[in-house]
Amino acid sequence: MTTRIVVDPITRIEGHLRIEAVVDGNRITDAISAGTVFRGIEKIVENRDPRDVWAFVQRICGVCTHIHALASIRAVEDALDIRIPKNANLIRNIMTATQFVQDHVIHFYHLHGFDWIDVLSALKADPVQASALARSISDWPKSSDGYFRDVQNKVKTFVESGQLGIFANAYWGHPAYRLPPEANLVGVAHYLDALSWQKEIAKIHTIFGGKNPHPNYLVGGMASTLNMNDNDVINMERLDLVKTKIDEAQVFVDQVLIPDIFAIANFYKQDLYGGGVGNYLAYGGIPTVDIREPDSFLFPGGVVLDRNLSKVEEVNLKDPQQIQEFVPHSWYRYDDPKAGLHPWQGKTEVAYNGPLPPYSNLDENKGYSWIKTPRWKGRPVEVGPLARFVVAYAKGNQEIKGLVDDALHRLNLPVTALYSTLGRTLARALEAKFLVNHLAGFYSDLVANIKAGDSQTFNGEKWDPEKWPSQAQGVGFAEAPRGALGHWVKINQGKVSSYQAVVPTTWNASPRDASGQKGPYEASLLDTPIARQDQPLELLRTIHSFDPCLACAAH
Amino acid sequence: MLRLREGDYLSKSETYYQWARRKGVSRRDFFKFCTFMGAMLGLEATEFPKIVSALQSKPRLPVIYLNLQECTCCGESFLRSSHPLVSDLIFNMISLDYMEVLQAAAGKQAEDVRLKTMKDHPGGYILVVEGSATLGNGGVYCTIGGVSSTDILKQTAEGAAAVIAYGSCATNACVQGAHPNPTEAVPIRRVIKNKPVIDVPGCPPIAEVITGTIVHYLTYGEIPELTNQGRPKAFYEHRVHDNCVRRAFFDAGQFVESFDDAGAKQGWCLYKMGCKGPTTYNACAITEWNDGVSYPIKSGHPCIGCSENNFFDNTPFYTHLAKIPNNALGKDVDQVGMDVIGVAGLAVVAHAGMTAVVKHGEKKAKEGKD
Amino acid sequence: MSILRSQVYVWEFPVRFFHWVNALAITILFLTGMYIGHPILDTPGEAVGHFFMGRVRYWHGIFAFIFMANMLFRLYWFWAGNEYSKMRLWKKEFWRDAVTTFKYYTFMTGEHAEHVGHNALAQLMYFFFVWVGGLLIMVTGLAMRGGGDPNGIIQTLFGWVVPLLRNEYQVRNLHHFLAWGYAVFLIGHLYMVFRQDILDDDGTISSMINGYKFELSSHNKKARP
Ligand code: HEM
Ligand code: HEM
Ligand code: NFV
Ligand code: SF4
Ligand code: SF4
Ligand code: F3S
Ligand SMILES: [Mg+2]
Repeated sequence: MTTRIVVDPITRIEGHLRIEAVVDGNRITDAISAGTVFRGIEKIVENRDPRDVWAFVQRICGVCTHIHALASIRAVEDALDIRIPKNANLIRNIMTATQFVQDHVIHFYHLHGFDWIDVLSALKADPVQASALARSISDWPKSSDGYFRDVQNKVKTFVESGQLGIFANAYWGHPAYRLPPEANLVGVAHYLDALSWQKEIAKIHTIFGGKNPHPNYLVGGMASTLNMNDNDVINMERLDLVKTKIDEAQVFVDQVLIPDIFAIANFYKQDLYGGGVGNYLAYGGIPTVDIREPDSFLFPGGVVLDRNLSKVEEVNLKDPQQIQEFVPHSWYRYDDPKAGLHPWQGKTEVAYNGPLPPYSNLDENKGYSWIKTPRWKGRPVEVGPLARFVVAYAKGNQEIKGLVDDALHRLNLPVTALYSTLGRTLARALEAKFLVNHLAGFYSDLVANIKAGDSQTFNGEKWDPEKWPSQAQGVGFAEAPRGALGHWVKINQGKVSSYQAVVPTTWNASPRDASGQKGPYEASLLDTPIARQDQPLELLRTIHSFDPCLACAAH
Repeated sequence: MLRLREGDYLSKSETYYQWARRKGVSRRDFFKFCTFMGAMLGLEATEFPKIVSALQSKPRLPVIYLNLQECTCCGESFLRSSHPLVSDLIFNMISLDYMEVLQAAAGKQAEDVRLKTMKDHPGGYILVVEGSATLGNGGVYCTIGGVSSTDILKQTAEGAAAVIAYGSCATNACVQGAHPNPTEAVPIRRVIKNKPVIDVPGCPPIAEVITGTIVHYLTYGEIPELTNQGRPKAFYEHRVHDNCVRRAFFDAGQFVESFDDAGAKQGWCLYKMGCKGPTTYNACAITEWNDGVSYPIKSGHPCIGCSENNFFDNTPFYTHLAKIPNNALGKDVDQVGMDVIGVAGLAVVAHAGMTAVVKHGEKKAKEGKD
Repeated sequence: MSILRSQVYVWEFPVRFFHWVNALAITILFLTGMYIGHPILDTPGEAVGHFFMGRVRYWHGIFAFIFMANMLFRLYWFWAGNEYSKMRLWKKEFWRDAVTTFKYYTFMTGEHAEHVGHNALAQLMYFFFVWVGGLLIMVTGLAMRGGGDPNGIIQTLFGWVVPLLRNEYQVRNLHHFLAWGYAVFLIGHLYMVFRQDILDDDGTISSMINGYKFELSSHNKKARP
């Protein structure tokens, strides 16, 4: 007998995601992923000044704040052939890496953590043992007996108050939790530590971008003026604060995140479900030199199909045959409903044909999501940290391969273990490590460049719309925390005439296409077990491993 | 009046009543406070004992945090709060019963928590709303659990003691409400009409502005004093411009003319780069962002007016105030002014011409008569 | 043809005083206001030595209050002044006169209603540009001023303007737009004044200085204020 379960809202994500899954006994046999929020930002930026658009599209998402702004200014810079100064590129890189590390840590502890960590079990832990466990995996100076006892007491009084707040009504005690009480206690303690720490690293954005979330950007460079001999702009004192925050981030990732990930992975490494479509795409990103020089990217771009690591396909964002968006199961209208449109030809025209709310089920034979269906050469592909790592691994990127091989070795797992829910989560943590290392590098490059006498952060040659061609089109891309991100812009007479964003979660959460191929979320649920139908913890775990962002997905 | 200062919070197991007694509040004063609360909430006198018992037995103020049509940046900003630390707030000071972004429960279990809080604490919880309501197309642009989020908002607001519209989406529909507003996004006060709605605008607001507003309510049991725009005075009474670090350069007449120019390198005023500080009410210049590190202008970018109604339509951003074209006419105020002057001038010239012709005719006619 | 002309004391001193204070204040407000909108001069060096924009805003403020006080005074003089100082838009005769004057100015009739005081069309212009426009510019200006002192009396009295227009940017924009109203008024005003003076040779221009106008004695009985 099969049942159709509905999980809506999927919590601990950004935005509004609905999963309906058909469960046969204790495994999922079919699933639909529906994005249930739409704002129409692509339409709203039409006819606007292209230099303003970053601020509009930045508001696509505040969790991966900054990255849409970056993609947008790059799209405009690509269209108008604007080169940015070296410092601007470095500052953008610092901000991007900062965002990744912050976002990945928040995701692991605050959004994903309760899929692995059982808070109630932590109450049963022996603080002395927890301390011993923590010290055996890390030098983090806070890991004393007293510290864990304090945390445990805090949680105890909290729970005993009867007001469980954010812990209320969850799946505590579920059989899919595998950590011993002591590990759970360490996890809970670090949940709190991470909550306090994440706001510290964000200060790097505040210094260069004036605030976090949603720091400021500028077409042609950065507005963050540098002058080491002035009190009123970014000077050495400000840069020193950046350095301090980078150092703190390095310590946090090395001594808290990474040890925790390995500890948890060790307990969960037999749970290798959730692999999904098995195709991985990365556009490549974080240009150490310039966005026009792919060889300088920290993350190489490419596509790996069918988990075949021996071949990496090239991605071309401007090729009309490669990246296309379809809408057979989305609430939009195309002239030809079967067509796939390259984003430069893309359209966002609403045509809702789902049930009127309140409804109890969606129908997968009709439209069932505000998310479009992007496909790469007709294939569903997964994007995100795992995709980046798979592509880099297949391309033989030494640094990333080293990180992955070392991790697999420590966990005693084969490379195929990556194609799983756990693999996604592991890749994300390794990526935080990879980027926190580079953060310090970008910082010293910036300081060295300033020292060499270059403090330019903005190129104003083409600021004036008079200097633009009457028509232009461009694409801006980036690797976002959740995967490959592209913004396609067309400019006509100085105004945006068309704007399309294809966002990481659009790829991952997409509904099935006309030929019935499921998107990555739907596919990954197919081999996810369900121990208790009324407590779909494993389903949440798999979905969370993608780090869903629904504001991003449909925008 | 009950007061909670930093380091003076309720301990976790205490009820308000125990805490108040410990602080030397007499039993009589405590009842007075409860009566006051009841009156504020507009309850019948017969309801007062319920409030007394609620405060005697309920240590932490329940808070329901709804996410509607938004980008969750406001929620992210909330997490960045330094004083109070967000962990202090949510674990010691309030009971954050429902917030999709943080809560452990999902699906039906999550919705059940919300319904339970609404049922157990009628008139006794705070509703914080991030995001806009949407009226378009029968509410299909944002649904939660298959229900239109606008309906969830109405339902949840019904029993709330106060509603906080958190962020520009909730106060003015922000980016999705910008022209042409495809989803008919509206501020939440357009949907909730029978309740005090506190507007806490900003895209996002500074972290401490929202946590500060909640703590104010917790401390004084009433909503803070509001500006004539319905925002907490404590944070929104001044313009950014009134306390801007670059103000001395404004007054001196020293303006950045293009980004990264010599003036910019000395931190001159960003007025001509489009700064909206002169017309924007927000705490940025005083509180600053992320525990006082900086704010947009200080870091070199003009203010885009993110706490102002419809700021996404008061654009282009990099055009200085007086040069922003009118949305309908496509011309700035001086161009319109010059056009009108031109028309008036032409009319005068034409009229003068006509007068000459007519007068000439009259003269001719007179001469003919003579 | 001999025409008898007699001198009439039309504009009492307070009206003339009001008029020229008004003209001066508006000129300065317009110029300083435009500068605030478009600060074209740049001052080099350290900020401490300069206060140019500050001074311009200061004088805008000073003349704003002179302007407002002057308008208040004129309001009083509508009541206290002579027959010619009144404006009676609610009277039937006013509108009848307005129609005749309109016909005259549109050349539909050569018949010219003589006015010793204002003609009705001119009064309508004063009403809309000077009084309605002035009220709006004062209200918007005061609303912006009020923001500088959130607990002050101005804010208490005029704070409602900002939410009414949705945000302060709109208030400022409207204020700026209204400034142009004065420029338009001035063009029409000067034209009408000079035209009148030339065509009727009734001393209109000098009247705003010495107070006297001439009228044709034959029309004396028909003269209307
Ligand atoms: C005939 C009368 C007036 C004219 C022509 C005038 C004109 C202007 C103009 C053009 C601006 C610049 C607006 C912009 O930047 O777009 C301005 C600003 C301003 N005006 Fe006036 N104005 C007049 C009367 C007043 C009055 C009566 C007040 C009342 C107190 C006032 C207060 C202000 C204020 C506060 C500003 C903003 C300046 C700033 O904050 O820097 N104005 N005015
Ligand atoms: C900003 C500039 C000016 C403004 C706002 C202004 C406004 C006014 C107003 C309100 C009146 C009606 C007087 C009253 O009833 O109190 C008036 C009348 C008059 N103004 Fe002006 N004025 C301006 C400039 C001038 C100038 C430059 C002249 C002279 C060349 C002038 C000549 C006159 C005359 C002759 C009258 C009497 C006209 C009549 O018979 O109706 N005005 N003006
Ligand atoms: N999907 C997505 Fe984003 C990310 N990372 C976008 O570019 O989260 Ni809000
Ligand atoms: S107000 Fe701005 S920051 Fe807040 S949710 Fe809306 S778009 Fe995001
Ligand atoms: S930078 Fe903006 S807010 Fe600051 S003084 Fe200049 S105009 Fe005012
Ligand atoms: S853009 Fe917003 S953050 Fe402050 S300085 Fe301006 S109000
Ligand atoms: Mg799109």
